[in-house]
Amino acid sequence: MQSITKRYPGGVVANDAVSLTVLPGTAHAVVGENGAGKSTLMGVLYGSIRPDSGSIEVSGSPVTLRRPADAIRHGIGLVTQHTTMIPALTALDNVLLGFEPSRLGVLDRRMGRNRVEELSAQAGIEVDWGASADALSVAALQKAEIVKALYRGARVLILDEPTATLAPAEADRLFAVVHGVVASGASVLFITHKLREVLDHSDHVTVLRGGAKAGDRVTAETCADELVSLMLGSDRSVAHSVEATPEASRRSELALQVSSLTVRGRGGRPAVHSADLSVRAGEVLGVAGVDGSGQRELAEAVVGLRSAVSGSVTLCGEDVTARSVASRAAAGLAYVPEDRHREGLILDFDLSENLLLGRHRDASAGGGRFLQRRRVLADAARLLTEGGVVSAGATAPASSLSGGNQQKVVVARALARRPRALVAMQPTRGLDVGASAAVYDAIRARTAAGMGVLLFSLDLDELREVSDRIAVMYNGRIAGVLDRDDAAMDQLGKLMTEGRP
Amino acid sequence: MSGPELAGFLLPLGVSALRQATPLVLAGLGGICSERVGIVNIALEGMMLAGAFSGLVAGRLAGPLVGVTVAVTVGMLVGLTHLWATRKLRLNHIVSGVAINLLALHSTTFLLRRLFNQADPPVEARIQTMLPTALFTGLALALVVVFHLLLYYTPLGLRVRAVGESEADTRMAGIDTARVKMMGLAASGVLAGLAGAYLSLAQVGRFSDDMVSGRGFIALAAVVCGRWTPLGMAAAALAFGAFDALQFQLQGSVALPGELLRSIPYIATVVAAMALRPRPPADLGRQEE
Repeated sequence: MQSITKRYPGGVVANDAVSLTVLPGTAHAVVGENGAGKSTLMGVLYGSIRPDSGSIEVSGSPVTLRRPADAIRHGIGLVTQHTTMIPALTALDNVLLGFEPSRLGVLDRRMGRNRVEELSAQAGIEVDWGASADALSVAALQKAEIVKALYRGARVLILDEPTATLAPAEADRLFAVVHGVVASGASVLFITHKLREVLDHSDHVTVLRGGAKAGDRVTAETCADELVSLMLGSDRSVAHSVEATPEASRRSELALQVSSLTVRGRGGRPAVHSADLSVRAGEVLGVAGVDGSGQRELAEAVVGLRSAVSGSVTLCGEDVTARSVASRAAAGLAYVPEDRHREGLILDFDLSENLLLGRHRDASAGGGRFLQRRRVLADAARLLTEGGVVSAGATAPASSLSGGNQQKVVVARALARRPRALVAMQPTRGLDVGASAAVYDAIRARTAAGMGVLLFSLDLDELREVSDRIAVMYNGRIAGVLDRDDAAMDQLGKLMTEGRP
Repeated sequence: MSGPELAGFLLPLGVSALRQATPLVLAGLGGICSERVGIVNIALEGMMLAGAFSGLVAGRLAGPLVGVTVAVTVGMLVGLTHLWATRKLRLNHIVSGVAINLLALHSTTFLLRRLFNQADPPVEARIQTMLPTALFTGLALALVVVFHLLLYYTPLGLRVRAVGESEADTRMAGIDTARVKMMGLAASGVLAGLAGAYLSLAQVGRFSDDMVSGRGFIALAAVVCGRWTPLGMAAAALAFGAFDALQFQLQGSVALPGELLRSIPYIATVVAAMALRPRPPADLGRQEE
């Protein structure tokens, strides 16, 4: 394979005349803030988005990619941020799908399986191929996706934010696979927000900003500060604006208390075992843990979306265990759900309607028996301004906003009732540095006024920056609670993966 | 009841059950073909009706085998119309299905009047030489096995199941999902048309108003009870056929009203929906973005 050249200049604002070249046998990182056009670029490369102009060359010859099938034929494989594995099919069938080996018209699973196992052994991947895809963990699915791309003969493997939902140890294992793939002579193109991944695992890096290319660097010759200034477009350095709550605002009274709470998860399996947590007023209690350790079930039980088997939830001294979601919210408990598209917003509704949801009984927000449209709009406009949301106004559909601005809307709504406690699930998931800081600024303003925060996140760096204390979940239990100053990375890692310090 | 008496009761019952189940099995396979590629198909009823009528008309003109061919072709066209309405016109699948059923019902009724009953002189909508029902029954049972193998042991079957679960993900795997859907709906129409042809050309030998009378819906109920698998659907269809046959046998001799017995498939579907927790294909009824 000769040098691969791809050029996409586009009339689309998402990608403005972006060119990039990936050399065979290298790992190439693409970084940029949200909305920098990374995903669009990858979509063009995989044939799922058509560029308005520009050209793509694979191994020196120009190609036209009208649909994913074309990209696959030219040796381009994509591993998306969210799995494309079909839950009801086995991992093996998912890999074979579309490129099924067959004998006399009959699907030859044994032949397929041999090939798949051969490829995964080469890449150092272990997956239970006979299991149905919905039984596999996020990390296993991602590895299966890589094998799927290799099975299709990918010489250029695109990974779209591969570590967004992985625990640190899993991310390391994933990059070990990436290095293996690169060593075999193929190329890997990965998108990420995390500069550490770029610096540790890529040979070349392309920085995108506002749809245009801000620079190409050889990784060995650059540093984090330079990349950040390229991403942000100024000489702003990494200095994080996110800090922990000032000691002064922390009070002694409890905002939220969870006592020996046991919760069942999907299919009735026990997901949280006798969890004890207490969040003081004005405090941020972070909750770390490998994805799927019971965080979701715990959060949902606290806010009332899931009923607890036993134990209690106390809000500012008041037992709310038996109360409904609405009643808990009225008592001062707010929630920022994990998935802003599915749980946080109704994308087809406009911003004023989204901001009203959950507050639709408040006369001050324009709710009540009949909606007062004018007041709803005024209230929404105020929240949008206060929340620093960049939008076309209160009547713009939620789907028209970027991810960061959508999240600001979700947070603004949660904080609009001046809650006494907030449960936030990965509130900065998929957000860039600037949007993350804005989200935490908004939360911190309320924390200073005495709100307690229960913050769930998979990102340990972030947790260590914003939490006063960090609880670690392991297998549905609270394995330990550490003070932020004592929470060393390796100690947290050990609690997360082994359940003991 | 003595041995011979019991046999004398059960044998005709079994034959009758198979005769009643045959159109349900054929149409049920059609339902599976459609719903497995993600298209809700309550239009089975209409497809059967269109097949039954067109089959009879063609059968009178050119013989029953030509009649079957025409019924199957018309069924396929109706199937593709359903696909076009849901995919290109982006109609809700149920709305399109209802429209097709109403259109099929009223157009066949209208044409029946025009071409037969009110023609001058009136013609009976009847054919002289009927096809043997056993032919269809045998074919239906063979097709159940064929579709089972097709769905689980061939590349095409894998693709069909994948499209029904998630069209977007299947496209990302490099598959022309539009083609798979077209094949599914064409097959669906062919099978439902065949079921219709069975009714008019083999079972009764004539066409009357609304002669399908709910069998399309019962076939769909069998699909649900059988969890969208050919074998499960066939088992449910045979059970429904047996209830139907039992109802004929018991008519007059038992105090149970026929309506109650005829509602058994529907009650069974409700019970199955609660007890078996059938999991429909995940993308069933999804309108593409």
